Amino acid sequence: MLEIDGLTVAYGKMTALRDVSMAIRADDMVALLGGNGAGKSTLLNTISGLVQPEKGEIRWQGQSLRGLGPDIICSLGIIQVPEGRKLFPAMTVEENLLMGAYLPAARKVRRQSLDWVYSHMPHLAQRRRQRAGSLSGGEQQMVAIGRALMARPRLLMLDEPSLGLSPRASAEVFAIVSNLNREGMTTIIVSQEVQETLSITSYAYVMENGGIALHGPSAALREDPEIKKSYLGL
Amino acid sequence: MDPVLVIQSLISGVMMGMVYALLGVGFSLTWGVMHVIHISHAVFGLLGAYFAYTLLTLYGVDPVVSAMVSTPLLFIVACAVYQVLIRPLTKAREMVVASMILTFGLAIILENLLVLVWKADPRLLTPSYASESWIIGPFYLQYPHLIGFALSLVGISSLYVFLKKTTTGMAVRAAWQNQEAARLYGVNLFRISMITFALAVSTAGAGGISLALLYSFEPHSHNLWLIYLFLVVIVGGVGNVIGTALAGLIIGVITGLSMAFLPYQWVNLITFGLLMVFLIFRPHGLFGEVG
Amino acid sequence: MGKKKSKHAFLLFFLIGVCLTAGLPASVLGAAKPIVIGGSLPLTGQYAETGQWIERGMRYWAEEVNAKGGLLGRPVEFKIYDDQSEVSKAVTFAEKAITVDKVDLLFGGYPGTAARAVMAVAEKHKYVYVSMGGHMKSFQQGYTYSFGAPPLMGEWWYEGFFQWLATLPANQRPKRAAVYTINNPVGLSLMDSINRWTKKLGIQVVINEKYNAPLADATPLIVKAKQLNCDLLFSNGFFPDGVTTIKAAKALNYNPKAIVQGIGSVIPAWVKELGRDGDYVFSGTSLYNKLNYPGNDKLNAYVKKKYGLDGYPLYFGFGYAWMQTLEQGVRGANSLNQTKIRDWLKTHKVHTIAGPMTFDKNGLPPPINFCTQIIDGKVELIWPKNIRTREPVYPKPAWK
Repeated sequence: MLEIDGLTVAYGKMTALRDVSMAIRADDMVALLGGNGAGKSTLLNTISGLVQPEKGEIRWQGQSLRGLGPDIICSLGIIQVPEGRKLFPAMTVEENLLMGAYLPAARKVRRQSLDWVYSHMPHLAQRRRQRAGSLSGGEQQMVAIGRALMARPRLLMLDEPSLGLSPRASAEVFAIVSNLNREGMTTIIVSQEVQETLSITSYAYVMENGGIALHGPSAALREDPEIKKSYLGL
Repeated sequence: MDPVLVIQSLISGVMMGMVYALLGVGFSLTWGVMHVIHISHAVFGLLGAYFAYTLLTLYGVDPVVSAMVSTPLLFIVACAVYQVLIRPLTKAREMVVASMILTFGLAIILENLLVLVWKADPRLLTPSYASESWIIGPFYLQYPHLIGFALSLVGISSLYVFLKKTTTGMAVRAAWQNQEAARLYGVNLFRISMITFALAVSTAGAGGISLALLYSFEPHSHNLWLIYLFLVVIVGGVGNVIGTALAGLIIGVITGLSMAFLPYQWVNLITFGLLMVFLIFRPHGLFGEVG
Repeated sequence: MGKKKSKHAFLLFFLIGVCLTAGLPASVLGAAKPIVIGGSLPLTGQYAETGQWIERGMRYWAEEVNAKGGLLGRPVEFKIYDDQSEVSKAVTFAEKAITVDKVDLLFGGYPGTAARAVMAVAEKHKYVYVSMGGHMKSFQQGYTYSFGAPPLMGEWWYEGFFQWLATLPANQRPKRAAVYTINNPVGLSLMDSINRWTKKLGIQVVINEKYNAPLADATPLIVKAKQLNCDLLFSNGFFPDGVTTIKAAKALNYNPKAIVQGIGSVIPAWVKELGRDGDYVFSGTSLYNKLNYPGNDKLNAYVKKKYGLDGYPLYFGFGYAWMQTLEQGVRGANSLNQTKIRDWLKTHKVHTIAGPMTFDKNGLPPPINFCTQIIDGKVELIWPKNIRTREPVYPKPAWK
């Protein structure tokens, strides 16, 4: 579904991604692991079109995404839930959700999408008129995911969805994400919660210094003692 | 203190304040949403004023009609200005500073164009009702004040409705609160910025016409108007539409009260002292930087 | 830059040097070297309107002089800087004209404060400076090279108005005055004659308030004057605040017996923009285009032809009159020696479109007492009586 081939990205003189290649199949749930500054967020932002690559290619269902802006990529169904949630804090929960359905195709079905999101996250429905900035961290993360769902994603990319959340809220987020994947949502999840992430994903990439250090089925990575020690800090 | 004097001062003060709010609301929006401090904003107000002046003196067109006509015209002009001048700025490192310098230059150029076309003489916008009043008991509601007030209410509330109720308006607010997230969900920042800028400039035209009903104007009047713009925007909160309107009201009340109770020399000291106080103690304005 | 060129330049300088030291008359070198008259005017910025009219008046004078064979046999030519209505720039340009350009003569100009600042520069370099000055104080600083010919003198501004008022029967005169004055040197200079004369005529000054520009709203001013039954309104302000005040007076239906508008009403825009609402306003002046002195008809005919105006604007006349005075000083002294010009002007009578004038030790003519009133959209001279162009309209008719 998504193929990345030899992707290199630089911010000025600093190389953020070097020669990254990966492939994501439909219905997959892929983990993207690695320490701070390994390049995970840069990779997602490059896929989303916020950052333009220096070299390499991203293909979506065989079609190159080169040079496309974030609005086009969004309309293709590649949707990111950004790190730190990046809600519109002064807007209400519902307005935040509706912003997810900003582009025409999604806008047409936004009423249905709204019902769908509320059915998955019923307590958002109760807080629809509340300012998003006034919610707790866990609720804000739900809004962020809900907003992404409003865009009718075909590939959902979550960047650190559990960061800064209480264990309970974090577990809730993971439950929702794996539930979505079971319903057929292709997902990339970036997380520092290695054990948790590996347990719900089928395949994992580990990044280091802007490159892919290793990759393999999640189950295998969980058992590899060398990996546990050097990458996963276990 | 005489109640008639106090109330009359308040009435005209509030109406005057609202007229400044109409000119200020767009200034606030471009500043808040686009991080463009649009120094030539008031020059576009003047452009509206000269437009209305010309239509009135040549064809007897009522300034209110001119305000309606100037709004879409300025919208188009502003779109072009945005594409040519403001859009390339997005690459600048210090958007706020760069925009101030650039639009300051634009203000000077436009001012000189105004001198070329309309000369440096002061002008007055004097429709037949320019110095008429609606008399209620001991109070005089001056028509120019009333019209400025009404235009201001219409202008500011339509802007508010646009921001709150339309998808594009929502995108404007979203873009301002979190640019990156807005882009991720398909908001084209250039398009949104262009619309914001153009809306701001077109309300400036109506604001300029309202001001011209109250005061004489010359090609350099925008410098003075700009000071009042900073005043309403700083008090009301950058980017805050309703805040700007309330700031207009508050400044009107303060001006009216100080004119009624204090020696007139103090009035400007009080109003602009307010600006200093806000910049130091409440830089986000009374009502915060909220759309 | 090649060596050859600099050699040529050197030769040229050498030749010029030889000519000058030999004391040859300039005409030997070709045409007569023009007399350069330098200085600055506010051609852009706040006083652009005024400055541009002064320039036109000056240029008209130069045209005339050159057509008649020039000054001391040499053509005259201006070197005019635009000070953008800023005092500091006006001072810098005056210095530059004198020390860098080494102009032969300095021209005068600029309303109010800048002329006052430039007077000091002229005195320092001993250059004759004929301008409007900056009201009485500027002429009381012991300067000997500055002349007001005619000056713009706030202290004298209402002299004519009060002299006329004194001729009315006491029971017809206003009793209570409201005085609103813009808080700057020009506005405050108007207080001099108001204080003197209201005392003399027994008019009670009920309101005496100053305001700072910009005047945000004149409504409270008018409400107060109306409530305190003031039947004489002094609006001592410039154009923007003057207009705001008059518009409020009409909107609030305030009808005093007379409205005196000091400064704003003397520019052509007052009549043009306010129309009938600007009527019946009294003011002063030091120059007037219907004065019966030689030259006024000629100037009026010129502006009629060139600008389609009935009567030359005040500042056009000023620019012209100052140059007339300077010209007579140069001709009288028969020299460009500044001190000789000054001494001639101090001891002789000059004839200008504002009338004949002699100057006292401060460089001022005797007090001027013109009073104007706008009647039917025209500025009429109503005092002194012997040169009046129209009977004054008093009391002011109610607003229409």
